[in-house]
Amino acid sequence: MKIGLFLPQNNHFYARIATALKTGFEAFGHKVFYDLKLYESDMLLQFCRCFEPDCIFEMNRSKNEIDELPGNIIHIAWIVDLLGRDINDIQESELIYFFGTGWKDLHVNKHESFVDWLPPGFCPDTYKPTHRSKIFDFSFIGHIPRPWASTELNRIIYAQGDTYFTFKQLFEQCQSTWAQHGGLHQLRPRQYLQMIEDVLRSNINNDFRINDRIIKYDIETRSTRMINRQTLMDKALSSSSSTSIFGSNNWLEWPNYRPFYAGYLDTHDKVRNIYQSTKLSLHEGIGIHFRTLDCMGAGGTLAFMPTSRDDLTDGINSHFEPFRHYIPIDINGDCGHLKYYLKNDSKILKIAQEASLLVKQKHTWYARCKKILSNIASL
Amino acid sequence: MNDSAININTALVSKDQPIVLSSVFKSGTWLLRFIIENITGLKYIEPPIKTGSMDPCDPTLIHIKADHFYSWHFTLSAAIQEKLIRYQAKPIFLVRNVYDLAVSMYYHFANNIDHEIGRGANKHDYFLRIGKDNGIRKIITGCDDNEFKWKGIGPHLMQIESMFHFTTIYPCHLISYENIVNSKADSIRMLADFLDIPLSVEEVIRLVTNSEFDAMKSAARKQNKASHFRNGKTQSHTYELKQQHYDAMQECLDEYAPRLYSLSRKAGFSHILSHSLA
Repeated sequence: MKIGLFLPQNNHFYARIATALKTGFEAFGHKVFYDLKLYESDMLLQFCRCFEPDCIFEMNRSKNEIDELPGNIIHIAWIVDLLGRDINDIQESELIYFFGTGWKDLHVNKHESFVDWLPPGFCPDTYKPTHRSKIFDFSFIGHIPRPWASTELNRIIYAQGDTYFTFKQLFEQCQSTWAQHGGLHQLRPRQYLQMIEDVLRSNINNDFRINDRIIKYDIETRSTRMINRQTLMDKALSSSSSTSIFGSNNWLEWPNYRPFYAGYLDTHDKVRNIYQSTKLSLHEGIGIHFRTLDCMGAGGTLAFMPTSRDDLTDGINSHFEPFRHYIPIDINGDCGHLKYYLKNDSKILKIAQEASLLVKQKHTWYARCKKILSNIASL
Repeated sequence: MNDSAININTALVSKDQPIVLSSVFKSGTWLLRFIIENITGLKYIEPPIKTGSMDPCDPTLIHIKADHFYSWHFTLSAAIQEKLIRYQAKPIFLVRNVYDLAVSMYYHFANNIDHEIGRGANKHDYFLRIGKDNGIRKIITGCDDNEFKWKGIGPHLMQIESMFHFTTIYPCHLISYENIVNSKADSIRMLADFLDIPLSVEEVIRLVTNSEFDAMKSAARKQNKASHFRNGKTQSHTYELKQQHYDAMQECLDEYAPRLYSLSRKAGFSHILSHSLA
């Protein structure tokens, strides 16, 4: 089989995924061409004429978003980021894979696509386990959105006559509603999205929908990322100030976290080294993420913010066991459990070793390719 | 797909701006030459190879010749910089992760790479005898044994630093082996853009496919020169180098290329100094 593989951007993150998938598919005897951009329609048709693929695998684009694709080509969409789209905008691909926990259940499949969950894979070459002495109690790797600018908060979502409803009102009411229900991490996507709709309904009218992609992204994704990361960091910082944050310099715009910001990690080696030099690597708990696997596979110990989605069939607990492969953070409790683990090196080492073994056994990119090929065969 | 050579774009190559490639020894020179040849339709020329007696800083070794591009492992000395500027050259510089370079240089000697084309160093018995760890260490630090004389990786680090420095004062195209291997299609497009040669989607696809490691090795095997193609991967140092090698490399970096860290970082090439025990 010939496979065209397209990821959205040329950077070391996507390049690693592309090379890992290529290697995985090639191990099964398939020929792969990949590029780190999504082709416009004309380019894609030229590609199809030239390479004659049997299958096209694209990250973050579904078949209905492509003007034309020869009918005999199987299209696989791996949706890692909705990018402000409604989940039901993702249609028509023969195979649709969702990355996030609970997304599959939200999706209404209108075209008889095969729909499934596809978590990321682990690359044992890039994240080879190495024993290192610990430098930090906690580290967090990832970005945080900028705090809302006043112009963003003042965006008018709805106006009629003298009445209007701003993004600030929407965000504050949603934040309050989410908090009343135990916090965002306790809500399933369907629930917190429903709460956004409820806020809009009670303030505007029953039929109102947000059509602006940026506003939709801001309330559904940026807000949740912002709130979850604050919740996580506040918990860690109340347990230990030996905490380092790595990511984009957006962190500097958050006064509470600025002192802990330690820069951007621009290579996989640096990322891996931080996992291995940290007692507990923090993750905000949105299922099996790239960084959760990389951390566990590399021999780091993952401290994961539990969510109400963890026990779903595509939740982290479908493959990993709390306290055995990772440490769940008791967000609403005191910090005793975190302090306990910070003082018990042998316990966190054992957890790291068990997790690393499992990741290498069952969660490599090779295993993901095997699953994809098996799904293609079943079409 | 038609596997024949891509359209020759020779007519599009600027006659006024000769293409000059400097690559670090063992950084993927053959691969990049193949790509440039296919983009431009030009063949490369290099200076006559005289083992052990060629000064990489010597501008007289750089031959600007019509209908060819020049390719060798030269260092950007002041005299060479002046020559490139005077010729309004389009310089292309190929670098590679320095730890992988050390591994590749080691295997170059240990496996007697290129012996079948008369360019083998014939030091494989020596490297077999001293063992891999010791061999890699000598590659990094240098060696003045009777059997093997080698200046170490230091001059190569100096060469890389000179490339990064020159890109800050003159328009050049920097590319790394890791770029080519991990994002080849984009690397080809960016190189073609630098050379002002538009490539069609088909040309890019064909060039990506024809320059696959296996395809190139297979083609080389037919010409009995396949030893040059060892594994075509990045990050091999992860499995080959030990702490002593990283320490030795750090000493070489401090001595020969103290600005390389900041220069490579500013240019977005941090990966060339990245390693698994950092």
